Amino acid sequence: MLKMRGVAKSFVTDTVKTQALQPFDLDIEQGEFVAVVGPSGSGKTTFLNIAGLLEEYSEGQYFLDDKDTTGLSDKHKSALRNQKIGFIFQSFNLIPELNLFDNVEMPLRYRDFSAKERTERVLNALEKVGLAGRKSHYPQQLSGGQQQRVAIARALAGSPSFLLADEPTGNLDSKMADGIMSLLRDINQQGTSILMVTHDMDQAKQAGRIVEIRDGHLSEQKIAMTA
Amino acid sequence: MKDFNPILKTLWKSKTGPLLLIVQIAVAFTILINVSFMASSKLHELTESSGLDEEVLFSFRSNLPVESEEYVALLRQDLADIKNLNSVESVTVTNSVPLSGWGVFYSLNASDDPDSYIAQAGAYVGSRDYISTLGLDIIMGRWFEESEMEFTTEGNSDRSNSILVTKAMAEQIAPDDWSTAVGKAVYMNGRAYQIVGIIDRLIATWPEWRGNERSVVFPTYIMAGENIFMVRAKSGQLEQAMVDVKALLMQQPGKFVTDLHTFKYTRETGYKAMESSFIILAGVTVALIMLTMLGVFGQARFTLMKRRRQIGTRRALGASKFHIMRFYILESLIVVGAGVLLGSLCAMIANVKLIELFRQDAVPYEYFLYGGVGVCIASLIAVIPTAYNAANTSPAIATRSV
Repeated sequence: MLKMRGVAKSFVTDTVKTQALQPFDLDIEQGEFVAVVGPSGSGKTTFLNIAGLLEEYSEGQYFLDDKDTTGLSDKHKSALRNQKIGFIFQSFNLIPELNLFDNVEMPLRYRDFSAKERTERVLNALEKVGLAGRKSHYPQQLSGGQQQRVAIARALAGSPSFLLADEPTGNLDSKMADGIMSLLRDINQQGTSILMVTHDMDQAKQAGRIVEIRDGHLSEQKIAMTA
Repeated sequence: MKDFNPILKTLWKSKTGPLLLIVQIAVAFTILINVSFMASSKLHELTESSGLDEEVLFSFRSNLPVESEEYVALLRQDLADIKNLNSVESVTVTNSVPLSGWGVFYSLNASDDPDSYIAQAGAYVGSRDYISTLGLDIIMGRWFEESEMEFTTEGNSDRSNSILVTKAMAEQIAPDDWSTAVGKAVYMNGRAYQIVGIIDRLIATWPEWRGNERSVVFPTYIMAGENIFMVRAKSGQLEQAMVDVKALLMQQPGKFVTDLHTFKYTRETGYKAMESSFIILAGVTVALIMLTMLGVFGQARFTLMKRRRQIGTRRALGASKFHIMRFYILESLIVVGAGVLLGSLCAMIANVKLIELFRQDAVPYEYFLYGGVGVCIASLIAVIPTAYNAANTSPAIATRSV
C-alpha cells in the first residue's frame, strides 16, 4: 500500500545543507497500524509531511497504492491526498465557521461525488464516531475529544487507503486520549490502515508496529502488541 | 458551484467584516453611478458639435466711429471691405458669438397665451452671409429672403416676422415630427413669428446651459455703436485673415478692434469651467473605483492572514490551488455583488432625489449594468493576487504546531 525506497530529505539554507531524514526504506501493508515515535526535532513531522504528500522529498521513490508519487504535479498530489489519505491533526484543524456536517463534507467537495452521495458518506462517518446527532453543531460547541472525533469522521468520509494521524491525542487529556485511541483501534480492526506519529510510547505500543526516528534515521522497533 | 453554500455559511458566521465591506462598496457604488453619469454628461456636452465650421472662424468686436445715421452705410462698407480681403471667405455681423457666454434668449410660446410655453431658445441675428460664414446647414425650409433682412438702428417693432430655428427647437415645437415646424407660428413677447427654415445645429452662447441646442435666428439686425463680427477665413489662412482684417479696419480714424479671437479660443474659454468640473468628476469616479479595489484587497488580505492555517488544512485535505483560488474569488464576488446590488438600490433612490432637487436626467440602466460589471472586474483585479498567494500556501502548514 505504502512503499518508500531510499527516501531522504535535506534542506539547503544559504551554503549549509541539513539532512533532516537520512535515506530509508519503509513498507506499510493494507490493514496495518504503524506508530512513528521519536523525540522533538528528530524528523517526525518531516516524515509525516512526506508520507502525507504535503512536502517534497529530496531523494528516493515513494509509491502509494503502487503509484509512484515522484515528480507528480501539485494538482495530482492534491487529488491523491484527497482520495488516498485521511488526515487527523493534533489541533483537529476544523473550520470554526462550518458546522460538523459541513466540516466533514469539505474534502468530499473536491471530488466528483453527487450531493446525495456526499450526504450519505458524511452521515455514515459521523455515525462511526458517534456524533451523527450533532451534525448541526459547531466545533466550538464540542469538547476537544469530540472535535477530534469529527476530524476522524472527516478523514474517514472519503474512504482513504490509510489514515495519517499527527499526534492525534496531543491536545487531549488522558481520558479523552484513551477514547480516541480506542476509536482508532476500532477503525483499524475494520480494515483501515493507520500511520500515527506520536511521542507517547504507551500509545505507540497500541499499534502493531513501531518505527523510531532519531536524528533523521528511521529504525524499526520490535515491541509486543498490547490488547 | 460546490463552494457557494459553504462560502455563504462562512460569511454569515463571521459577518462583521464582509458586511462593512458590502456597505463600503454600496456607498461607493451609489456615488460612483451618479458621479460617472454627471461626468459622462459633461463629456458629452464638451465634445458636442456647435454646428459651426470652427477651424476657419474668428470673431471680434469693433465700433462705427460715425454719426448714427451713417451706421448702416459704414457697416455695409466694412462688410464689403473685409470680404474683399484675399484671406477672407465671407463675413457676417451678429449680436453674439456662440459659446461666448454673452447673449439674449427668448421664451417661445405656442400662442399669445403665456401659459402656452414651449421652451427657451438662445437668440441670434445675422446678416445675409450668416449661414455660409458660420457653415450652418439648413435642413428644412429656407434662409431669409433679401426683403426680410434689414440693418436698422430702430427698435424691433417693425422687424420681419420670419425666423429660423434649430432642429432641437423644432423638436420642441413639433414633437411628433420636427420637420412640420416649418410654417408654424410661435410667439415671443406676445408677438407672432413664422418659422421659415430649420438649421441642423447652432449652439447657443451659454456653454453650460442644458438647452443650448435650442436657438432662434432673426433677420433684422439692430445696430448700436459697436458690432460683433464673425469672419470665415480661407482654408489655412486663419491667422493671416485675423491680421489682415485688423489692419484694414484700423485704417479708419477712431476705429477699434478688440476681442479678436479664433472660435477655437472662444470654445476653450467657454468650456473651461465645465472642463474643470469634468476633470474633478472623472477623478472622483476613478478614486471611488480605487477605493473599492482597496477595500476588496484589504478584506481579502485580512481574510488570508486570518485563515492561513485553514487554507493549509484545505490544501492538505485535497484542495488544489485552483480550488483555493476559486473559493477566494467567488467569496469576493459574492461580497462585491451584494455591495453592487445594495449600491444600485441606493443609487436609484439617490437619483430620484437628484431628479427632484436638480432636475437631473434619470441615470440610464446601462450605468448600473456596466458600473456593476466594472466594479466586479476591478474587484477581481484586486483579489486575484491575494487569491494566488492563498493558493500557494503550503499544505504542510496544517501539521505545524499552533
